[in-house]
Amino acid sequence: MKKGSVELVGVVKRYGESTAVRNIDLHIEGGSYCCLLGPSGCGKSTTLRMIAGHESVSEGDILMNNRNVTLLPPRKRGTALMFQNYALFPHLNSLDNVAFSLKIAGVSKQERHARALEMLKLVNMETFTEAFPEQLSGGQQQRVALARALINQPEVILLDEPLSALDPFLRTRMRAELKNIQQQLGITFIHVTHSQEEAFALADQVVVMNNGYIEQVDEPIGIFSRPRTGFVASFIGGHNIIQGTLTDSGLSVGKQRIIALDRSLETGADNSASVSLRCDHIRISREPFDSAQPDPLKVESVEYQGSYVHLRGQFSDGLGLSVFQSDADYLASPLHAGDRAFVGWRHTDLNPLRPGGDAFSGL
Amino acid sequence: MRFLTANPSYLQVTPLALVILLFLLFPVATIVIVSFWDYNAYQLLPDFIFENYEFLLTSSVTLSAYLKTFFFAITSWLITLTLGFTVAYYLAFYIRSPLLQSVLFVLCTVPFLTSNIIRMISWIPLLGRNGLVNSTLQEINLIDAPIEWLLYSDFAVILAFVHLYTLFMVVPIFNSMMRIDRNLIEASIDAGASAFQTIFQVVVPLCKSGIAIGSIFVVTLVMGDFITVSLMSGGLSASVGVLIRNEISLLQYPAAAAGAVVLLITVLIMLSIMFRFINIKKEL
Repeated sequence: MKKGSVELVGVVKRYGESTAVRNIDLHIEGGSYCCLLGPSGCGKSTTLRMIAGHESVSEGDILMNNRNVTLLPPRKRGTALMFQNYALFPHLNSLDNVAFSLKIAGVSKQERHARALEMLKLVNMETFTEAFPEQLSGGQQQRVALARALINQPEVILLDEPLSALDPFLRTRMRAELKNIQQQLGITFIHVTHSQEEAFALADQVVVMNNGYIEQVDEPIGIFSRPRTGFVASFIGGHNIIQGTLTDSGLSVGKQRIIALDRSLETGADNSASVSLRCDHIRISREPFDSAQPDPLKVESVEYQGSYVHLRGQFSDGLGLSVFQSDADYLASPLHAGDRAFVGWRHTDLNPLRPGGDAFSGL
Repeated sequence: MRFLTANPSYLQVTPLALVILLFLLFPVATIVIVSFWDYNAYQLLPDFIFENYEFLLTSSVTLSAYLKTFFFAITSWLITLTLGFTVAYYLAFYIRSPLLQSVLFVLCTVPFLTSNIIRMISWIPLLGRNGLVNSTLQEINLIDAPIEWLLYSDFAVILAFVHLYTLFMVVPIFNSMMRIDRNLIEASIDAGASAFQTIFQVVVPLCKSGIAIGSIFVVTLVMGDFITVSLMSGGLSASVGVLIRNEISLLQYPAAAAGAVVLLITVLIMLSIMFRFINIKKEL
């Protein structure tokens, strides 16, 4: 087993009456980049803080390298936490901020400064050793915070929404740097975020959380192409969720529509079932075509998004669909609000969703 | 007039400037001038002599009064600092609910609802020879004879100072503690720091200006005090303030003025040393 593996076994966190994290089991491979993804209040930060040791665990165990660390203080776990607002000490310059934990450990001034400088070099901040946090930009503060987290050679780095305080341009750049450093050092990164874009760009393993539960654990590709629940499909976006009743011939939606299926679905109470369908996998055309639905879709809105166009429409029976049409197809024959168009998809593009659970209802 | 309309900021600072001029600079200037005057038993004689200072700076009474005053100032400062820091730390970091925090904070200020004098006098029935403390200790047979140093002693003076001035430490320190980002405490724990290391490596440096402001309050108040010292020491100890007051009561105004000027300079030197440690602008 690689160094830096983390395992949560039946972890529960209660605050008085309310439960923030409900019975989580999770295995994180050593040396991997794991993203905890979910809306605010889903328990992702609490989970991270429990791994860091800043929050006690109500029930269950946390293991690192197969060693039970549930009751150990933060420093004894081999983890380092990077705070959302970086939490750099305002009274210390960059070098002393990075060297802080070495000072606590009683390392001589010369040695700790040498090691801190090395870390600052790693994050390209060696020219800012004398600068105090208030003199640094957000991105620079983050690099110093990362250097401070790295100095004790932790096996696991925990990042609490590290990019949320940066502007979008810098966010993309720091994202690449985080990934770069993670791969260079080969240590485990556990990164909390509410941005699926960030999670997809960084993670080897994405953990989607909702309401204190884990909804799905998979690679980014798996999450996007095979969302397991309605919540996951709606939270990551770009998916239509079609709810109906399972019949012999397929999924019955509304009064007359039967959507053909090529695989079995899990059904909930009274045979209800739902599937997700990627918006960019729907073919849309003014003319009817082979696999198209028999009746046309009435286009209600058209949003130009650059590389694609987001069309929203509704069938006469009330079923609404979002379609992402590539800009080339759109420009060849532009659709406008009020137009009618035929839509269709391959059966294999329908992804069965597990019954139960709510869809995500907006940020 | 054109100048004032063009620079309205001058107009805006005028009231405060006048107040300072009238009630601070003018009296201080008067004291400095009078300190060079001569006097006899009946009247002040305008003059320019250095005898007041000469007498003051060569007298052994002055030296011992200054030593006593420094002793009071430093001891009270140390005790109020320790107490004030502890109370502020408890209020800021241990009390989670903002409501309880404000209630306890108001509780700290309750002693200030009565006057200084009353607060001091109320120690007398407690600490006196037949006071509550002595009689209780005698009743439970801990002591045979009453403890003499409880009242009318340096102990009583310092006790009164601590009682009067601890709040002046608590408020600014609490204020700067409330500005400390709680994540910094966690970051410190994450770096392996113990509670004490966190206090001395993170909390104290970040409260430095609060501590300095509290220290300025306490030190200046104690240095200039005469009523607490004469009341609580029963006239047995003399601080610089007590000397000045005695001179005033003997109508030796020029001598008192010289004493005041020297005391003012001493306190200003102490303040300038303290200001070196802090950036006071950051705190305001």
